[in-house]
Amino acid sequence: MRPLRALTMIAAAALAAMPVLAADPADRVMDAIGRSGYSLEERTMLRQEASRALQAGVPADDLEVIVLRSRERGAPEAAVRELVGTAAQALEQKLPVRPVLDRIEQGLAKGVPPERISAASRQLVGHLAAAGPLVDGLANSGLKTMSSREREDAIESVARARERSVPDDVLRKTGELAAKHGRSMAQYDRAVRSLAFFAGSGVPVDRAEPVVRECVERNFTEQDYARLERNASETLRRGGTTDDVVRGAERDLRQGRSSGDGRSGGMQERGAGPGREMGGRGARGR
Amino acid sequence: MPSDHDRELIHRLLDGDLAADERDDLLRRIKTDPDLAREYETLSGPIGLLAGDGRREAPPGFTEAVMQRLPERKPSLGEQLSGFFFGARVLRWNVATAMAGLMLIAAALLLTQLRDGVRTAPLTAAMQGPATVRLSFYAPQARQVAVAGDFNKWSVGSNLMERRDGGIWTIDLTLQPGRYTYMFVLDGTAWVADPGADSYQDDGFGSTNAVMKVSI
Repeated sequence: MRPLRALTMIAAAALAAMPVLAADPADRVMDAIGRSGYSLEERTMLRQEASRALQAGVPADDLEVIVLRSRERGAPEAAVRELVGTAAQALEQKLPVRPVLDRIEQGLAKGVPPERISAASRQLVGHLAAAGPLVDGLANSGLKTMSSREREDAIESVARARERSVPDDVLRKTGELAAKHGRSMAQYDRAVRSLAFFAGSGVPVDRAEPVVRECVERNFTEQDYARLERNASETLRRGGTTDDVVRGAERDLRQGRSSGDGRSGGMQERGAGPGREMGGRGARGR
Repeated sequence: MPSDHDRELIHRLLDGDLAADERDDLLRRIKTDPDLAREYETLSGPIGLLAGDGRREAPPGFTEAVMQRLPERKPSLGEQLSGFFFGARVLRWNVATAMAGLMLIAAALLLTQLRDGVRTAPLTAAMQGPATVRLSFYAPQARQVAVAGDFNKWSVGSNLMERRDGGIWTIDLTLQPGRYTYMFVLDGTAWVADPGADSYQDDGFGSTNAVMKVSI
């Protein structure tokens, strides 16, 4: 066969397959709704909400997961519709949708009641909406942003920190300090995650803030922050108090930051080896 | 040596512009002044030749041929600048030229990133490719252990771990560089954060996810 004819046939086959491939994920969402067992009226309303979400830009794969997992959990149609609507709302407000979808999918997988997932997701959307202007303001005041991904990551981290009751003032001052020292948005993002970590571990914000500010000033790397947080987790696991956590962090800072833990390159191993107890602080059975 | 005035008078004489008395006076002087007579001879030769009837007709098309061979008028600096900035152009290209252009742009972008000391995440991810991460977990009592995280949309059935000697469960995950949250799922019901994780993050439901940072 002549090469030109073969190429033409391959191109024609690819063109013929394109509509089928393109339509497939959205069709699967509608099929999943069709097989959900809800009443005709409920299925119609859910299809409408799914169409709205697809139109807003919610990936069909994620919608399919939400519908199928909700059905497995026996969630009522109204709850599923609310979850789908919350994801659509995030995109309609031009907010990062990935953290919202992640929370919904994670909650459904872990067996969290749908109404609780819905409340937590709506709350996250609200925090994301508040985090956007804060992050953009810091970018305008000199925090170096290399990509839209960095901006979205920082918005998510600020939103999560707000969920842990870290005040906007603290988040803004941390960003201004980072900008003053010529740090990037990614470095600010990491500092905020550490703030949220300490706040989530029960450390009062007014104790955690000076620690994180010093980390920013010392140009901490991902590995430095991870080491700090691992030590804090270990202290709590051993029954230490939040005062012990702060004292340990201050001691780490006095001793200077590490040069990293060498996690790069080749096979990266993580996890508990033999001799460690099963599970950890986060063990939950639902 | 004839003066300029005398030369002027000779020119006017040859052109027939002198009044009668001026002409007679000049002719008389030419006869008596050898220098003036020599000047008169010198000037009257070419002018006389031009005034003669030795003129020939140009062949047909002579003017057009000469005009065509003339060099084009050189545009002024203003016209050159105007043409450079506002003149319409036709871009001639081929695939090799386009690829070379794209490579130049990519190289310029890369150099810009490297000069700033930071690379953008998408660029880095695209350049680095996936990495293999081995997760291990000690759970001698478990019948099944899976890992669920944001990399598999928290699916409890997609990434089942393998049981090794001594009650250790392991799995190798191929992931793009980035930051991931995850948990181990024991027997499909118990969710456990990796005790050996890089760090931890609240999951929004009162529990804590493990966090791993994957890099090349």
